[in-house]
Amino acid sequence: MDVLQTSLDGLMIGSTYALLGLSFALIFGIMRRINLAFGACLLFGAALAIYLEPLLGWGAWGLFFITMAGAALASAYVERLCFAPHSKRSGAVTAMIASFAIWMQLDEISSQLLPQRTHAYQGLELPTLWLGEISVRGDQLLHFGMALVSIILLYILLYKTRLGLLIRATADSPESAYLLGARVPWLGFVVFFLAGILGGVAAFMILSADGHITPLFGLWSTFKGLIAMIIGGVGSLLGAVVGGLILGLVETHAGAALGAEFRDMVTFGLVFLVLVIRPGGLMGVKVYRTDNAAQERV
Amino acid sequence: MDLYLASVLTNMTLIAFLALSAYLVLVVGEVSFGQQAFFCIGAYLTASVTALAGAHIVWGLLAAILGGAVCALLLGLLTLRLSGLYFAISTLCFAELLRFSLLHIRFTRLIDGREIGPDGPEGFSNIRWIFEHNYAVTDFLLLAASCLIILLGLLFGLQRSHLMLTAHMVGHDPVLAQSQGFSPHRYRLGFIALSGAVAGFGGGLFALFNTHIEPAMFGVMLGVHGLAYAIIGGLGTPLGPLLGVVLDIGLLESIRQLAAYRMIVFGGLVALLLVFRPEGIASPRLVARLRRRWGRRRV
Amino acid sequence: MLSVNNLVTSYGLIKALKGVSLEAKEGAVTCILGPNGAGKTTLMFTLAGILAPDSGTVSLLEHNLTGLGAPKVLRQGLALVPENRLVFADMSVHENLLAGAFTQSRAMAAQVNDDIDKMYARFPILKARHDQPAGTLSGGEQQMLALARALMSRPSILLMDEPSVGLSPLIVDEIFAIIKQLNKDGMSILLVEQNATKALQVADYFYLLDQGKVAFSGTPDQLKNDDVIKRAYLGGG
Repeated sequence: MDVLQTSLDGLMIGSTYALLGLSFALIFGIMRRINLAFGACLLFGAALAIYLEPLLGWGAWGLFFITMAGAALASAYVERLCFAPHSKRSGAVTAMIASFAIWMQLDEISSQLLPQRTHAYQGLELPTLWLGEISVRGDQLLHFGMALVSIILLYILLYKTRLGLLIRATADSPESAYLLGARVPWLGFVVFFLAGILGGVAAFMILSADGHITPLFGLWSTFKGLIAMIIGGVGSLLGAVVGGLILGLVETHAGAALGAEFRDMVTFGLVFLVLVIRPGGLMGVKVYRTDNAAQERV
Repeated sequence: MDLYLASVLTNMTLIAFLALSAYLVLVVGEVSFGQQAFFCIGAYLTASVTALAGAHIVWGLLAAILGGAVCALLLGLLTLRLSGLYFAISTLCFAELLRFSLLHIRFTRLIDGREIGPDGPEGFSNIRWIFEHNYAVTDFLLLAASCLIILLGLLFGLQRSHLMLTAHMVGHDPVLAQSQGFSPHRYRLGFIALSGAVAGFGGGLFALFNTHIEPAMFGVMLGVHGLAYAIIGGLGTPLGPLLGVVLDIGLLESIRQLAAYRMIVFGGLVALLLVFRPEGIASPRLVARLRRRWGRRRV
Repeated sequence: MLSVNNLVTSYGLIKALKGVSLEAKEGAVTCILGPNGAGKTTLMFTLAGILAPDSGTVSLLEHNLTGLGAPKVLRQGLALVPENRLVFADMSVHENLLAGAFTQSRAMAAQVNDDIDKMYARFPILKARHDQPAGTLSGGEQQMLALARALMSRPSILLMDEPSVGLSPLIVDEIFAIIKQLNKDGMSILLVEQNATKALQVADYFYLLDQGKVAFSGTPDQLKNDDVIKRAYLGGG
């Protein structure tokens, strides 16, 4: 019974990691770039929400929308300042370092917005459900549903709309997409905005489940997103979702079996092993072999 | 010399070793998020050798250099077929694994009534070699700075050498280098090991200067800062990373009263700087142009 | 219809085109011949708006295309089939064709589907493979897909950069038959080709590009009767 309970908890947390991983995979898929400021964008959105909440008094849903909007705006800002100017193939490392600089900037702004460092982040009050011996927190179940809906919406956007076709074509071959009339630089902006929205949803889910926020959340969510993407396979959206769920399961099981202090160690060990033994991740083997994504500098 | 100024300068010197080690990896075309691991290894080894075993500082630093190099070589071998993002993330994982392991390593002994040795998250305290041997802060600064200058001198001497040029070629295009008859693997491993040695040495000095080290000091932020200094400064010359360090710590220490807002300004400035100088301040192109002009004047 | 006037384009410090002027007539197949490094691909990229020229003009049906950038050039009716095909390897054949209609607005969805049906009628092999990832097609099939995809934007002139490169002789014959048929149906085509013998079978007018300049221009008969060119390009003694 315990194993079942732990697995269920893992899936609940994993669904939020899946969203973080998806945001990374979206950006990496289309731009072949790593956005180190990603977590800082989410932190900024959340800090802005905490800062504005007493003025507006919109409650938990207000937090949700401001977090999402703030994260999306910050993400778009990062794209304009750090990624759009370095769109050439050789600009990968430069863009990454520029995004690191903006990470520091957003971190500092967020710290200013959160003067007491630890602030309460209001969640939704829902009763806990019991199925025999197994319990699920109501708000976590709602979050799981939200993650599922977000993933389905993203799927529809990417596979059933003209914008999605544009995005996928650009991810496949930016040169051809440009030749066929796609405005590739504009698409980069759209994708960062999308990643910001997805990340904002994830940030709300994580923070409201925890009930509080600290400035460390930025670094933490960058790590989780990157790791979920790597486990699943770089460049694969499905992989990022699976990778996020696996990360959630591994973390909760490792925490239950070895204690909380070994949890992160097991995670990093797993990622290191995945990289050394199967660099393409679980889903990205084809991508790793055929695409030269692996050869490109970060 | 003002004690405060001396300690700021020493800190800059120490972080410069880390930035140089990041630079050495960049030369062979890889990005490392994990140089702090070798810095950390160097720090713990020097601490153990001088404080635990009571040996001379020279042995401590030698151990740091060797330890850093060996660990870097090991990491390089494990990640031989990885490049780009995959390499960067694996170095990050390696560094974090090391840091988490140190949280569980406890080996303390009572020496002169003090608990000495690595003590999990509490870290390693009482690394008192430079106090016991009456080194003033300025003396230590002199020692660290001269080591840095010697290292820079070495790198400058090698700058136009066959070895460095080949390494740059490996970094630029491994396949091309291979077709020219060079083994990219060998250069890669060599430079990664060298970067480990440099970082380890810096870490050793750091432990001696700080007298207390703990795992939390060697987080990913440290490594990414070192990497950022190397990139901001530019890859054109070994002085580039130093330039990055001076720009960040030097400039920002001088406007300390703005401490709370410094990153808001500085982060934005760095991103803007990179828009206009994407290859850093001392970019290879700028260095080549200066060298030509300087050369002409001499003739 | 497409007129190019004194075009100069450089890559960094190297001038790849040093003042090229040419004219592609409506309903004709115009062919550009030339050795490697003559500037053929640079010319194509400049015409399609991927490279910006230093000076000179490009105009299509009295519209100035100079310096517009690829998306706008395409909207003006000039489509390029690039060398080495460049299909979207992970997307299906059908999606590749849809991608060719990026420039068409959503309101024309029905028309886009009509166009795709027309492409399937012209290239039956694409219909048979419509849900396969384009990366799994053979070289010849990918070339057909790239061609069909370019046609999806309903261009008034089609630029083809070395359609025969890397294909077996049988497939090359097939591709050239398609080009001929397209032209018969009224499409104006500007073709870059190294395979002069093949090009002679379809082209109405030739330009010979050498070191960034037009070295010769004329009809197929004039080309065949020019001894120097015959020796250099047609392999005749």
